[in-house]
Amino acid sequence: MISITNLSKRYGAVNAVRDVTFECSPGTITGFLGANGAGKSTTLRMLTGLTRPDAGSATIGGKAFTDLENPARTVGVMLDTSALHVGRTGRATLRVAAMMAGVPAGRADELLEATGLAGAASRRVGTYSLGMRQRLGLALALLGSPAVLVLDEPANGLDPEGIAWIRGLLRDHATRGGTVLLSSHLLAEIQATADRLVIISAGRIVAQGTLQQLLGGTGQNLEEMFLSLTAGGPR
Amino acid sequence: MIPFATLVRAELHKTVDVRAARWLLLATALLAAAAEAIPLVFPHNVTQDRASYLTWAALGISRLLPLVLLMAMTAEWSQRTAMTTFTLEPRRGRVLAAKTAAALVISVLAVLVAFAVATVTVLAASQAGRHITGGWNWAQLAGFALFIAGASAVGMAIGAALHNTAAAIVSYFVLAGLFGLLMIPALEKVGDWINTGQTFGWLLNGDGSRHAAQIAVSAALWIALPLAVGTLRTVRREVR
Repeated sequence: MISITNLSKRYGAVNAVRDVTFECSPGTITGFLGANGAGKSTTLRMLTGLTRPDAGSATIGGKAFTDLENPARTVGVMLDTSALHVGRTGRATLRVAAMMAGVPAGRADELLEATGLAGAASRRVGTYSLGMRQRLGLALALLGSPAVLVLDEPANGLDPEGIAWIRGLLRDHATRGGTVLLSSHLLAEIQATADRLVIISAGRIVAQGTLQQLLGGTGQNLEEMFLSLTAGGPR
Repeated sequence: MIPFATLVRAELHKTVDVRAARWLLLATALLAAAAEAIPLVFPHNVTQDRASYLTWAALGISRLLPLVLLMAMTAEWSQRTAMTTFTLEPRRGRVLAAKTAAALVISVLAVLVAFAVATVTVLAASQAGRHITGGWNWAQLAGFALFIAGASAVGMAIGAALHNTAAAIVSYFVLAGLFGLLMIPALEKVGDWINTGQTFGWLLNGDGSRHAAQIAVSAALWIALPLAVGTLRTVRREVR
């Protein structure tokens, strides 16, 4: 369970996130939707203890991220897959994380296999394509077998096969009672994956609910609704 | 909580499992060996005792080791791995403490490597007929170890404070250059307290106990202070 309550963050004159409140329940996939610069990533960084909020709070299973004993066992995080050391191999990257999370090194190899990176495991991350980095980022998030997943743009750079694979993986995770929060600006992808949507524009939540709740009776499709909700939004 | 020993082990892996660091460590060991050529090739200019062989090994090994430790500190920010590291252990102060401990472990290993290189060189040279006297005591050996650890810690601390690899490496070398200026007579008095080139040199000469206060002041200035600044910055900085 993820609870975000009245979260706010300001950078100089820019209100990056304003009074954001929403929840993600176990067994569901929540799609966090917004244009570039709408405040998605800032919200996710505040949720994971990387950015200090000016106001409000965010908890995972009732605890602030920074109070989690061994976060990797509770919540898998994938925020920015360009934030990997280019001089380290894929396998070494996962092994160090496995060590910190306290899971056996075999789990790292298992995930290399599962994410289709086994063949590239001993190559340096600097030689990886965007899609491969994305797979490595997902492997990092899955390492501690966490119940909660927080993923920023997970489909970014993946080929259609990869996108179908991650969609199945997330669906499976939710079916087994897991909680998923994923951000995206790809409407079709979110529509195909998420149970619930939270739409953010210029730092504010402008709509949230299930797809039926949001679209029911309006006669709009998701794109039309998104554009009308976020009109005038981009700063 | 993640055991501290686990964090140290992870940081040790992170320091050596990067390609650039591996080359630097190899070069570090090779420089220790290469430096031994100086007492070997210039027997009339360099005292032929074990102490001077140890001294040259220490000077050789401490050329690049500070950069390895510096890069281990800056990589989190320059390579942006802080994002992964601090989502695995959000208590950033503990991560920094583990990095410092890992740097210390690597320094101790470097001391052992330098000692082994000097010992092998002395044995081989003696075997070949060179007359090398004993000439070292425990105090000198302690100074030798502290010199290597201290010189490396300066690099680590500058990396910790500056976060940026390029800026930290430039600062490290600029600092060494400025220390050179402090050697001129007019500034010598100041240099004796802040120039680690001078103060750590006393350690290496076995003169450490006579200059303990000066060594401590320079170490506080270039190791403790930047580490403290680095800790504060690391705990406060937004990871993005």
